[in-house]
This record gives sequence, structure tokens and C-alpha cells, in this order.
Amino acid sequence: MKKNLWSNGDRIVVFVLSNGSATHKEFCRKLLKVFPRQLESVWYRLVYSGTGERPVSVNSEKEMMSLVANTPGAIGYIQSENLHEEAKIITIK
Amino acid sequence: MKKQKLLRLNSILFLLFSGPLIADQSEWFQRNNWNAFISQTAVYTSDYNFLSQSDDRLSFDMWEAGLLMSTAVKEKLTFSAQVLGRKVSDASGDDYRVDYAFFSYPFYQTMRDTIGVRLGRIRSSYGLYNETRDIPHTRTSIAMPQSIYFDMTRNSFYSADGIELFGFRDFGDQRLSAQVFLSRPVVDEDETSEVARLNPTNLKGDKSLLAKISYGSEYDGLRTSFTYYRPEYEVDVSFPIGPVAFEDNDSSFYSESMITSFEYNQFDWAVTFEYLRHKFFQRIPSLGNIPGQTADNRGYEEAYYLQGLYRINDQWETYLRYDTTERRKSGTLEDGEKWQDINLGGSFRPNENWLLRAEVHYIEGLARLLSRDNTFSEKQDPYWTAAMFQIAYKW
Repeated sequence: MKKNLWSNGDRIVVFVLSNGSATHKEFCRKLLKVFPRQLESVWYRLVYSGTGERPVSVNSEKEMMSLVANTPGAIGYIQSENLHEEAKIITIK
Repeated sequence: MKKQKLLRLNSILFLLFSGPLIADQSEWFQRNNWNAFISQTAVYTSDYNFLSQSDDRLSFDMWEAGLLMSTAVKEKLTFSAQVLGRKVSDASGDDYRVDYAFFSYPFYQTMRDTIGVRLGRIRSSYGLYNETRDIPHTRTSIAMPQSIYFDMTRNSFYSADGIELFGFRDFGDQRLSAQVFLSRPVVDEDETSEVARLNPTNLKGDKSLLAKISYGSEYDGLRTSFTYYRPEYEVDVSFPIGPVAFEDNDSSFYSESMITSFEYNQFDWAVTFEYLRHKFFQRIPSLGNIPGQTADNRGYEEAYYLQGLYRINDQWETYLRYDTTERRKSGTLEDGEKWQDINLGGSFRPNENWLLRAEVHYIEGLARLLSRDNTFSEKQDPYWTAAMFQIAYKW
């Protein structure tokens, strides 16, 4: 959540769904094990101490897919049923 | 060549993309972030004025508003600033100031490590929460635990003008970080004269050192930190001894704080403990020539708070905190002043912008009250209560 760079030195551009999104809530609770507002507090501290940036908030999973696909160094998340056909899937065990 | 990957975990997919950079990173003022917040607080106290003129009345004096921005000036060079307006003391009135405005440049940066420098008016990363104490949405309560984050010297301790060297290394979700901040303290005559019990005719920030080391995760498991902070001031003082008025233009004052902090976070609860050992020292050379007086006066206080937080759901949370301070003295500084505050509060966030809070305090002691807002007498009741309500909005 706090990293700025990929291993090749490129800047990480993080996209997140808005706090009201059910997918964002599920992402926070199940994967990060935090409430969305806790995540936001962490970002506040990063942004205003000059050590990081707040992720870019997007309004829909379609927009997320499009932005991640067209932004170098980007990372985001969607529900699997909204998967873009060109993408590959890696399962985390 | 472009490559795309998706990481699947249950029904959620991580989308990853890496490829040749299209955006020109050499452009100026990219990635601009603007945020703002405003809050209004109502305070009622059974006795004394606490953060407003609240003695036996419901006061709406206390308000806060802030405008915050950050931008990538060029490539890795960033700039962050905050302008804040607030009122917590009737004597000081409405207070507007540039809280911080600094450049940050990580001159060594890998996926795991960062070493960098900041320059300008920089926030003091004192304890776990000083950096975000003014943003209502990042606080646990309306009133910060006064044992550590006292509002008596908020402006003096919040930020200072100087240079900071910082570095961190990530170990998975855990981060080891260290920073050393050299500065000239910001001068707030109201605050410094109140804490030092001086009546300065001239006050100048001399030098300040803050060093901090911390380790852990902000949202999962343990995080701990140790902070050392020592701001020093030069003062000219004027004081009466009997019928004679004395002046000393070579006086000095410093305070030395050591804060040890622990916090343990789980999904729906957190426990926080922070302990402060705070020394203060004042030197008025001409007092050494007066019988019965000493040039050097020292005092110290021990303070800590223990707080439990329970996150009921996405919108509701509640906390219980024991917050205590005890002052001891040498010389003319007063002995035995204390502050024990048991407080209980809750918050409701209907959405990501709005925040509603309420809390009650049962307090013994006066050590964290502003003397500029209160008139103290020998026979005052040390037991009193406070109730606070807050509404806040952020953009």
C-alpha cells in the first residue's frame, strides 16, 4: 500500500474504486483486512508527509479496466466477471 | 512491448500493467492533490474553559478549517502545504497560519528503500499522530489525548522551519523508518510564555532537534516508535520581585520530550499506548544574583494515555481512553499539577465526506488547561466534566 516504485524503477500508479463501491469494500475487508476509512487515513499520512501519493479514485470497474490498461506502471482491481478479455490471470494461493 | 497481468484472489482481480512510459515525467507540476476540511465543535464543561469559553455553557467557539495541497514539482521533487484556520482559545482568538510548506526529494529510491530530504516548514512527526492531528477524519476523537498532544503548545510543536533527512526500508507490510529534523522553532508567544511561566518581552526560536525511529504497520499488527524532540528558545524577560522590576535579556528556555509509542491494530479494534517524559528548563542569569532565587529552574512531567478503539462497522466506531499527566518541579515551577481524563466517545460517518462525533470526559486536574482562558484560585474544584460534539466535512 505504501510502495512508490516497481522493481524496475517505474513509478507505481494506483487506481482504486470509490469508497461507496461494493467491490472496494470487499477489497478492503477481505484482502487488506481494513475498513475503507482506515486505508484513507494511511493515504492521508503519506500524501501530506510528502512520502507518497493518494491513489487515483475511479467511478466504475469499466473505467478502472480502461485506465489500468492505458497507464504505464498501473495497478488496480475489479470483480472477475468484469475481466477484460486481453488480460491474463494469476491465482494467488 | 506491453505486458498485462491479472492476479486472482477469490472474486477480485488485481490488474497490473507495465510498459514503456508514455507520460513525460519531466513535466512540471504533475499529480496535483487538493483537499480541504472544515469542522465545528460544541463544547460544554461543568467548570473551566476547555478549548473554548465553555464554563457551564454550551460554546460554539471551537472551529477548524484547512486547505491542503501536494504536487510533483518535477519528477521526484514534490511540494506539500497546508493553510489552517482554527480557534481553541478565546484569548488567542481566530488563528490563521501556514502550518507547513515543504519540498521533499528522495535522492535514493528503490522498490524497498528510500532516502530523502525535506526542506521548508515541516511537520514534526512527534509521536504517532502529530502529523495528522488537525484532520478530523484521521483522528480518533475531537480532543487529542492532552497527555501527549497538548493543545497548549500545538503551534509550537506542530511544525518548524528547517531541513529533515528521512529514510525507510519496507519488509513486506512492515516499514522501518528513521528521520532527523533540524530546525528553528516556530514562535508562538502565547504558548511558550504559558508553558514556561515566563512573561517574555521578546521571544526568538533558537534551534530544534527532532529524531524519530519507528517500525511496523499502520493497519495490521504492531507499530512502535520512539521520538526525541528538543526545541530551544532565546527570551528577554521582565518580572517583578517585590517592589523591584527586573529585566533579563539573556534568558533561555528549552523543552525536551521523549515519546515511546505502541499501537496494535486488528480489523475491528486497536489499542494505543504512548508515554511521554517531558523536561523543561529555563535559565534567567540575573536571578542568580538575587538572594533566595536561582538562575536555573527545571521541571518535568510524565504523561501517557492508553486507548482502546472498536470499529463497530464501516460507519460507526467507539473508543475509551485513560489520559494522564503529572508534573514535578524544581525551582519556581509548580509541583504536583496533574491531569487525569477518562473519556469515552463515538463517531458516525454517513459517507466519506461527513463525520459526526460525540465524547464525554471526566477530568481530575487542571494541568492541561490554558491559563490564558482561565482564572485559577487556591480553592478550585479539581473534578470536572466535559461533553463535546463535532460535525466535520472534507473535500
